[in-house]
Amino acid sequence: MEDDLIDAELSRIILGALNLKTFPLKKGTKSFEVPGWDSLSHVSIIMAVEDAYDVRFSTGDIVALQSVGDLEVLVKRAGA
Amino acid sequence: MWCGLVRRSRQQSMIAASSMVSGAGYTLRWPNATLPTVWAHNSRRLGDALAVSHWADGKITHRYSWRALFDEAARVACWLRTLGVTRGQVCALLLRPDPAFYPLYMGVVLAGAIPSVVAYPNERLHPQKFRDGLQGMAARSGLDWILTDAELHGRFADLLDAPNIRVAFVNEAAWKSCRPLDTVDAETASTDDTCLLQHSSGTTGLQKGVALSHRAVLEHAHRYGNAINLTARDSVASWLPLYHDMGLIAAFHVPLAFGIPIVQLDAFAWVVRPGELLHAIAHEHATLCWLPNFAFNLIADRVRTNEIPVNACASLRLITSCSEPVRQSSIGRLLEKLRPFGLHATCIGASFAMAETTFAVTQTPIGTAPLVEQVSRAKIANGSAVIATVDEPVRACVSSGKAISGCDVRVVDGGGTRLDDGTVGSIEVRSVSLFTGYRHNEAATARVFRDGWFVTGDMGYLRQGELFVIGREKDLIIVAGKNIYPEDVEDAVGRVDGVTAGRTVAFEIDDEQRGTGQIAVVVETAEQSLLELKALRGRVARVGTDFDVPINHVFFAQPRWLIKSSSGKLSRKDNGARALVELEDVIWKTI
Repeated sequence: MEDDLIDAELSRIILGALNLKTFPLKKGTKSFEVPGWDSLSHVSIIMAVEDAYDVRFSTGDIVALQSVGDLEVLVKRAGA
Repeated sequence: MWCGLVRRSRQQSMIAASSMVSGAGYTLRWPNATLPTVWAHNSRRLGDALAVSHWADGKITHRYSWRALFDEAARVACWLRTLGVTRGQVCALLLRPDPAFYPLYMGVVLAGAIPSVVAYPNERLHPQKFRDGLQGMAARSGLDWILTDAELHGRFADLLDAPNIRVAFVNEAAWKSCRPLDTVDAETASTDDTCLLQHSSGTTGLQKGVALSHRAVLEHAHRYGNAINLTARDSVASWLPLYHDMGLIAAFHVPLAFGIPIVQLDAFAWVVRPGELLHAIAHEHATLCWLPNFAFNLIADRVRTNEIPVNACASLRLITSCSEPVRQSSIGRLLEKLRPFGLHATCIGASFAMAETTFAVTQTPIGTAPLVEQVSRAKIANGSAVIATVDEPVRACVSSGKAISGCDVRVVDGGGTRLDDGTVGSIEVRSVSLFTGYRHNEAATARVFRDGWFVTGDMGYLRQGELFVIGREKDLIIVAGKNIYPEDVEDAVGRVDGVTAGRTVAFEIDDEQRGTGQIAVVVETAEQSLLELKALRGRVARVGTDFDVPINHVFFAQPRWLIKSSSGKLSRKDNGARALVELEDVIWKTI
């Protein structure tokens, strides 16, 4: 469902960090379901999101992320 | 650009590769000692000085003094004995990074049992793959106990409650209430008793258990400590997981034996915040660090310069690159990034190491940068490492240093004949700290020994005592320091619907940007439509993520495209080379 998709801007940032043209990022999507999203590219995505929204997440929050929706919540919680 | 010591001539005096000096003329620091006797001595000698500083989420969460660490370990030993753990039993430690790990591990040793650190499954690992791995390990190594947490037990109760394996939940409150095991009791181990069991990496039960004795670990600690000029003023900073020999031996057992502080970061946290290592080094004034090659790139590329402490590298005197092929470009990138923060070229070293020799075989001489040879790319492909002429395409080969005391390196041809300097061949090693064999696996042991030499499976050449590792004989794939057996990947991919069974090969493709390898597979399929192939591509990648192995490149081939060697096996090397030339690479980034 369209409603399950995450914010378009956040999706663009994540896919940009992964060099992916398109991929449906839903709130429940887990990192391992996304092509190229492994432990090494994870840090690239986090840095891209932090830079785009001018926020900094705690290491604990990043490690605890379970899904793309969790990252969206983290961004909103940071006031971005 | 960092160039290291670029060798253009062979004017240096010949240094014999042979440096086996065990026995006469060499005084060991801890003769006839065991780990408990050395640890007990350090506890008495160093008392309230810092032993372990555990970092998580960018800050210190726990600090142990030597006295507190040993006292708690002795209580753990008592607790384990109460549970029924007996001398010689193998205890798998399956825990998230936690300060309780250190006394637990030491307590197992004090109890006379054998610790074996097992990787805690992350969320990417498919439960069945974890089951396969642990069951394979249990079958091969004979695990007697699993020490873990209730959460993991909840997820894998059916597996962990196997009839021949007992499970105990780590319970700090329980062991803190125990009386410390009498150290006299703990010190009764023999120096030749097995003190730990390491497992080679693997994902589906192919792990081989490497058993090491007290003597092997302590003698190696002493000799390696000498090789890096280790003194009481040193301290180690590490994010390395302790199920890996580099983390367990270099960053844990060596400092435990010498009585120098250990600064340990959570590996899961480090990989998302690699800059935290620099904060920990600066805060704790750490002097020593070991990193696989990919970590050089990660720190260089994924740490914001404005977030690096001004004094990040002021205390550092040695970063050793190990466990992955050493790349000149990666060293150069790290130096470029950290030179403004005090890192010098001579602070970088390299080492050739493996669990079977306890850890290191070679090390860059202290105070010098790793030697780099710019050899002819064409000639080395034919087995001859000749320094390139000006106009010739070059391959930069980085030396892993010279054999350390007690170790010997030779490069031989297929028949076991020693080769001349500069000739590429199979790397074989001897060490006074060499393991005696894979636990309960005589066949595997027999395959890796030749006339008393351990056949490493790596290819390289020697020059004036310096060892240059250039590739692997065996088809092992290394991604971010993690060893991956191609058989594991092929087995999983071969079961994907649409892939012809038994007609898959996996191989490694170099990833220069990340400074590590990537996994590629060639699969034969009868599918032809683009739509079907796209769906198949998704299924292939999915099985990789099921056991936390990213399959980055997929090549589709028509039936019977893969060629077999004269022995009737699918050649990974040859088919991989053909695929790169003849097949369209279906990489994820082109979706």
